[in-house]
Amino acid sequence: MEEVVVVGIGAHPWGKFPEKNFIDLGAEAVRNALADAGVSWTDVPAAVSGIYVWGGTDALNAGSAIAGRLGETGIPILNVFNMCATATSAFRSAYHVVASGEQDMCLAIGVDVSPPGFFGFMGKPDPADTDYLRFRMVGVTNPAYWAMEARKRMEEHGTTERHFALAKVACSKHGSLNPDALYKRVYTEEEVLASPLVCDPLRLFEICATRDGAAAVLLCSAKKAKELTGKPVRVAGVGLGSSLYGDPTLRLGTLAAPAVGSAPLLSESYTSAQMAYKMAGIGPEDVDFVEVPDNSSWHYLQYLETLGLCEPGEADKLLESGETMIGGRLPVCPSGGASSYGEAISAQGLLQICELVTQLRGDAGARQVEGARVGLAQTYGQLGNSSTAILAR
Amino acid sequence: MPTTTTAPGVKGLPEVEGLFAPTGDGDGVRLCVGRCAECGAVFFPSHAQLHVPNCSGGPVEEGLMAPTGTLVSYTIQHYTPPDPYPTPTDWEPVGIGTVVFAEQGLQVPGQLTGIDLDDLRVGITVETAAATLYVDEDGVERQTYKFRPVPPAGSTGSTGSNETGAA
Repeated sequence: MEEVVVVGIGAHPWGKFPEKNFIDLGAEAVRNALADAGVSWTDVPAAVSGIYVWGGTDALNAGSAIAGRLGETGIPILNVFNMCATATSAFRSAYHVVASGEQDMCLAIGVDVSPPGFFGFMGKPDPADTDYLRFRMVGVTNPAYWAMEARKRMEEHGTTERHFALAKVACSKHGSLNPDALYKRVYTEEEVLASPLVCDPLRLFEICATRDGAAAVLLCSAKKAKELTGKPVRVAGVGLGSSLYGDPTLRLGTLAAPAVGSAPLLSESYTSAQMAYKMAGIGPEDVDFVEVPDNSSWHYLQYLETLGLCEPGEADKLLESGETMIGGRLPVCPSGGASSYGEAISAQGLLQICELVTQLRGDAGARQVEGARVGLAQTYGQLGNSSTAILAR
Repeated sequence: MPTTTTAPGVKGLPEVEGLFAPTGDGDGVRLCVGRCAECGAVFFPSHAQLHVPNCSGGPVEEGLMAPTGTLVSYTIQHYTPPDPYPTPTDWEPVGIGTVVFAEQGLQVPGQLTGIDLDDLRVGITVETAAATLYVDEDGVERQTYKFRPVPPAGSTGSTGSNETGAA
């Protein structure tokens, strides 16, 4: 296997852009990544692109549509969809294109234009589809699922509403230091606790917004990177996980789960992270900073435990102690996370990876994690798939 | 067993067939589950099958969830759910709970009814009942399942807690 490095990162800002379509966003992200690497589009030998499901036929073939804008060159383009894990799944496949020696470079692309408000049902009315049933028969929204997991956590570990508020405060402080974040306001605990309850105990400021965005990363063999001028960052591990039988997580879009777990909560994320750790030859104790999928404050806390970064029930104390802040033992979401960007589902994982590269290059400015050598980016896993990337310098 | 017929005491029709069946006691219903005869895993709905690894996949037998369970978590959803929920125009915050049916080994989410939202507590016993989801253009009540606290002993309408599930 070839050693693989990242040599270029680029993004289109996160936000709402009614005057633009996904091709505008994706092409800008790719152009920025190529400029960062000092590589021409015509020198890119392969690409893997996340697709998204709200944009019609072109969006189901997003990589090819973006390539059309950049000028078709006949390269192999793989279009992938893996729910919340889409972008980092594209990254993983791009990694393998280079690691296998098939190509010396490969571009990974993620783009999303999200519908506003609560995520609704995306298919046709079909009683055989449990996602239809949960909306039609119960009206249970995604934040309601998260809220019920959050209350279980309160019962089991003594987590309080204050802990959920502190997670938002922590992310907002980091986001305020990030010139690329969409939301840069620092929130106080009191302000978060005064925001409206969406799904008790989770409040409006504790649930990330849906936004549009695009990100791209150029991967390259370590040998090829010597011909380029940028600061390469090594891909130490990539993971892709699916669920384990007996996972007690009440997954979005389902109406039942085991009452007593015989597998970890968020088992798809657990298996993905374990795979990435094994490949990197490291353990959680070697991670210097982490980008978790902070879709809600419950995610922020739970993922620290799912990733093995602290013991079950210890994330609340870790957060309270300040150790998850930049300057602490384990900075969490130094970018500000989805809390500060909003979530563009099919692009979010590559945005996280861009942050890892920025930090490991030492280019993160006011939000720099000093001395960072190993960063981990983890996606959520809505329907039983999740992905992980570990980068190192 | 799944049915589309109206049972005594149950007005209206299930919005979706095969999810719940009348107990015959008032508006009480039981959720319809599937149970794999080979690996023993229990499913709700019966077609949402997560088998034990290496199971050949069946046969899956139809059964019924216990009529009562334990509320292990809940939320109060303050905003109107999106389509395709047949949203009433006068949406009020609704309790949604996770109920554990220990005998079947499953936890199931459902709307909560018959309880003041301020009285929601983890650990209470709830029963499963048919409840109106909306009234269709023919004036027929279309029903879903909901969970409500088991009435105090001695009051009418309780299905009792000694009944066992068939699954």
